[in-house]
Amino acid sequence: MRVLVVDDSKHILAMVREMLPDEGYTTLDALNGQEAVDLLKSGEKVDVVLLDWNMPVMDGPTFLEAVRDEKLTDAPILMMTTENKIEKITKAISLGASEYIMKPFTEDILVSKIDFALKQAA
Amino acid sequence: MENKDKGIYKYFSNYIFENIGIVYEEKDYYRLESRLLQMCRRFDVENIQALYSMYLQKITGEMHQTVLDIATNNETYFFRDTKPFVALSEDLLPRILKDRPGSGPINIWCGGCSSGQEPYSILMALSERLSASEIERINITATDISSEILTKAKSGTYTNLEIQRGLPITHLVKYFSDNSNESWTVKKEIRDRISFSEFNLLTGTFPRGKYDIIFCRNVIIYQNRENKNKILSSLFESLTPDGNLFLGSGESLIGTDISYLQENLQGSMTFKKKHKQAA
Repeated sequence: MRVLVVDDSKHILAMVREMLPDEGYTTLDALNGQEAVDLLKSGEKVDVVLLDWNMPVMDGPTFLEAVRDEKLTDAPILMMTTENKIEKITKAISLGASEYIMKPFTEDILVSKIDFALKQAA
Repeated sequence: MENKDKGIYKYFSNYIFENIGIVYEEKDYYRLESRLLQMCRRFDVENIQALYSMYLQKITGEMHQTVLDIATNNETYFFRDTKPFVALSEDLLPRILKDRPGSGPINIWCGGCSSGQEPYSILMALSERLSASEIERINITATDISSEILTKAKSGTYTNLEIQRGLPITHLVKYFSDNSNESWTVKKEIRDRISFSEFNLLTGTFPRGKYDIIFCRNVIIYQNRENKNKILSSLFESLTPDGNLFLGSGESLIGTDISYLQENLQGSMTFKKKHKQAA
């Protein structure tokens, strides 16, 4: 499974790579929404997207709008952020996010949330 | 471990077994140790030996309850194993409602509810499927032996980590209030529909033929064969003639003396009383 991880923190990118089981998961990194848009437009196929909220150049909600407007991918998109207030969560869902991972999180939460989002999308 | 320490662990493991049937064998003493150390902190005593001396002098009600609180394994999360909640909300409850139209109550008991994630999951799953008037007919009783864990269950308040274990984000937004301090509380209208109370599955008086559905999951796994038989027989007595019992995914009635029927509902096993055939 190819997981596109969109986060401006290299620490988070490395942590997610470390947390996901070696078997069955490959990660693809993007440092902001624009890099993720460019990757998807270049034809990269991904099964799931993990998306930070606050990033330079293009933030998470703007990426969600771009995916929706330009139909960039059908993969489920999970927010992965410290923006954990109910208003933010509701906004992300309305823009097309299918799940929400609140930072800080644990390995079991990361894996089970990805599994759940994939099952819902199937 | 020195012999005198073994004696102390034996004392507390016997106390726990006699009161709630949970077995701590010698190989489990390391788990018991961390729990006894928790008790030392709570009573502000120096070490396990001092705790033991305190219990030998006099066991107050608070001291008794504290042993029961620390001895139970409270591991739980929302929608644990998923399938029982699908079976309940998409199969069993719609069938019961069809067979029993009207306004009569449908009683569900969640035995060993721990910090409440299971009864709240049941109610959320049903709320997704049933109409408001159908939900009005559902009575959920949730019990646990630990008064401390029941206080948490009743509060319906969970941390960011707890609400991320098994709870879909759409349910969080719909059924919880944001406390703005990294914690969330189940909305009052949901909390008010569940009646929480203390109950000891080994020594309690079970109501006869009351419950249409009983969830008692990951409870008997900690009991020996004799207690397992006792608890399961009582649970079956508490079911209506056609009632269904849900056990944990690793639990079964194999090896017990109980006659039962087993049914696979949407991938989840449920158990019913086997009635004697008329001659």
